[in-house]
Amino acid sequence: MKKTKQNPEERLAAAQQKKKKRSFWRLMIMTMVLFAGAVVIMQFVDQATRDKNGRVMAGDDAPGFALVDLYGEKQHSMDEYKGKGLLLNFWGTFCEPCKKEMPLINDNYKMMQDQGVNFVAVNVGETPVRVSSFIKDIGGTDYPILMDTNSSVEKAYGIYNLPVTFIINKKGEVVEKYEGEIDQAKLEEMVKKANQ
Amino acid sequence: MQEQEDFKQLDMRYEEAELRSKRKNPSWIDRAWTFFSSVKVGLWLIGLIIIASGIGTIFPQEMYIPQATPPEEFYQKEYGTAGDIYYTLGFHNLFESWWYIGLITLLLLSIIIVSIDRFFPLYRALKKQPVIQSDRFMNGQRFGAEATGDVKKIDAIAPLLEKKGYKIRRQDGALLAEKQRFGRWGPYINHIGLVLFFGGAMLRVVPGMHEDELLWLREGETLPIEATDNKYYLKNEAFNIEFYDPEKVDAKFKKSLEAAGGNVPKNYDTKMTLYKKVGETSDFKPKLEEIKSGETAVNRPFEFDDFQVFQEQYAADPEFKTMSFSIVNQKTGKVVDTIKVDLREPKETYKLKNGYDVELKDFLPDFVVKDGQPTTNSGRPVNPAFVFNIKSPEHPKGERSLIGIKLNVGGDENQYKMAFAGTELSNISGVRIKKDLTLPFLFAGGIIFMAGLLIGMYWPHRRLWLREKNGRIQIAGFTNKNALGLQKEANLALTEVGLPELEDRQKLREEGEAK
Repeated sequence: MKKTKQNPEERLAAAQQKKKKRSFWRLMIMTMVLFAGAVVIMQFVDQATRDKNGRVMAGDDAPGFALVDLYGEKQHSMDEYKGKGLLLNFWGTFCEPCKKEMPLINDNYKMMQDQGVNFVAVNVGETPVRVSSFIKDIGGTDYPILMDTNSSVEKAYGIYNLPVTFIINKKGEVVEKYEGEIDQAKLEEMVKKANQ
Repeated sequence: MQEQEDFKQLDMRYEEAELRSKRKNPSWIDRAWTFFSSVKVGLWLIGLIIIASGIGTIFPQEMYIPQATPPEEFYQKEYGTAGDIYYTLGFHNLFESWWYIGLITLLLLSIIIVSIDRFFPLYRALKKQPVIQSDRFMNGQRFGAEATGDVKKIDAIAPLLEKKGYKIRRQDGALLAEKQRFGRWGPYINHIGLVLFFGGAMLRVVPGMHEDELLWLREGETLPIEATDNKYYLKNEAFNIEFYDPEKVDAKFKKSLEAAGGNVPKNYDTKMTLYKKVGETSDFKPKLEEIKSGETAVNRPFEFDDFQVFQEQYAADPEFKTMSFSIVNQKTGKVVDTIKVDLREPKETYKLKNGYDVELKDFLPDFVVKDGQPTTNSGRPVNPAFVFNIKSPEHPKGERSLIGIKLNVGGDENQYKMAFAGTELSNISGVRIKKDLTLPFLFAGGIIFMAGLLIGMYWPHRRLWLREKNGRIQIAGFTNKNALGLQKEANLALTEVGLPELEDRQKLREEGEAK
């Protein structure tokens, strides 16, 4: 144990150096373990605020999508609406309130566009034959009808009831999830919220 | 006897080396470190975790209660006040509650600090053990003996101990025999195992470490797998199900099979093909490349990358997949042609020979009449109906009719009619897609933990010291476990060279005190 002779000051300095190093490692180890624990807790708390059946709720980030319109002309994706408000509507030809709200939405489509809010209607996995016949019956729409052929977007959003409309803001977050038929007042409220 | 009365046992756990935490601790970092380095704190934490886990099993966890009732009502209704308290305190979701994870984290911290705090002094003590020990050391061991003799006796005992598996070190005639030193590391190995295990369990929350998805696949259908970020697609090639035949089984089973009512499945499996998305076609469809095909049965998963696909469920009723129709000239009764409509991907026009065409104007998968209008109740092909327009040389604009199951509207007065010509059904298979990268950590942690436990329990660290001083031979022995084993082993060798057997000084002192 006898090393080269050191004077007391040097020895004190060396001891302090060693102690500093030890304190540093102790702090590192404790911080790392506690940090890992905190991350796990935060993840679980985060999961608890989310819906258990995978339904997208207000406050969540809107899941991305890339769907082709009814006529197979253009692919619409979430990304192209980023930076603008978006009303994402899910509907089916078998849903009565959907049928009722569609002409109203169509009448307001230009107003929405003027205010910088987009509207897209995702059909829940029905056949193009059925959807085009239905759209022809109601006189056509100006807004895009997207075909979720394999229901993957429907699954990603956890859709149970129709119609349902997600109000998505400029940052791509869901501001509100609205289940039920849209009327004029609700639509105007939605446009306002999407623009915030 | 004088010596034995003076006997004061040395603390041999860390060879008298000071614990790191027992030094003066002025800073808060060191104080926190000292707190967690206490085994008592660790035991308290373990105790709390055990009690909490025990309480967590009194009533079912939230994930196991029926989904129909909200949990805040369920516990109150089912278990009364106790259930209400249980829910309020968060025991319904114990293993994900912040305070339970917090306790586990503190325990992990305690295990790590305790190990580090004890590892270094022990390592240093074991690394440089002197062969010649002081009188105080020799007399301070629990086992010892003394007799007259010379170094020759020590020379003679060395090969005997070596045969027993001891490692021998000599210095100036003195001897140190040591066996199974590695056993001292058992508790530390087992701590490493614990840290790996808990760490692995915590890794589950890291995105991408754990995936779980239920995918419903109709026969012939190809769907993207969400758990793989839609990079992979799975196709159900065929679903096969076998039922128990009550006529062919044992009489005793027959009864219960009949009691179960209907069909009891014997086995079911899905033949499937896995595709990888490699791009997109010009009409925005995914370009798929076949990766592998195989089948999945109950408990026998289909595997790819880190994923496993398990057969989990199937739909009780198969679904209509295709329907075929013949175009019949009602005047002559002749069949012009036959078309097959795929109900999932119906075409708008079906080109036939000789200038005939069939247009599908509308397809109502779940036909119903509402307010006098034909429409559909849902998107599922439960009761399909079709609006056909048959174009023929006689009727270039076409003749319309609405055709469904036992339904033919407007077809009777037309020259051509669509006659039902058969259907194909498809089963729907429910497969569970799972990925769990934390499992290797859990396995490795568990195995290391068990190995550490076994090493610590069954590998006692045995040591014998012998030295000659002034014509007398001093003998001392130490073991951390199984004292009788050491005595037996040492005594055999000692008596063979004519040395006295080891005495248990602790026992002698206790007996002396009793008198």
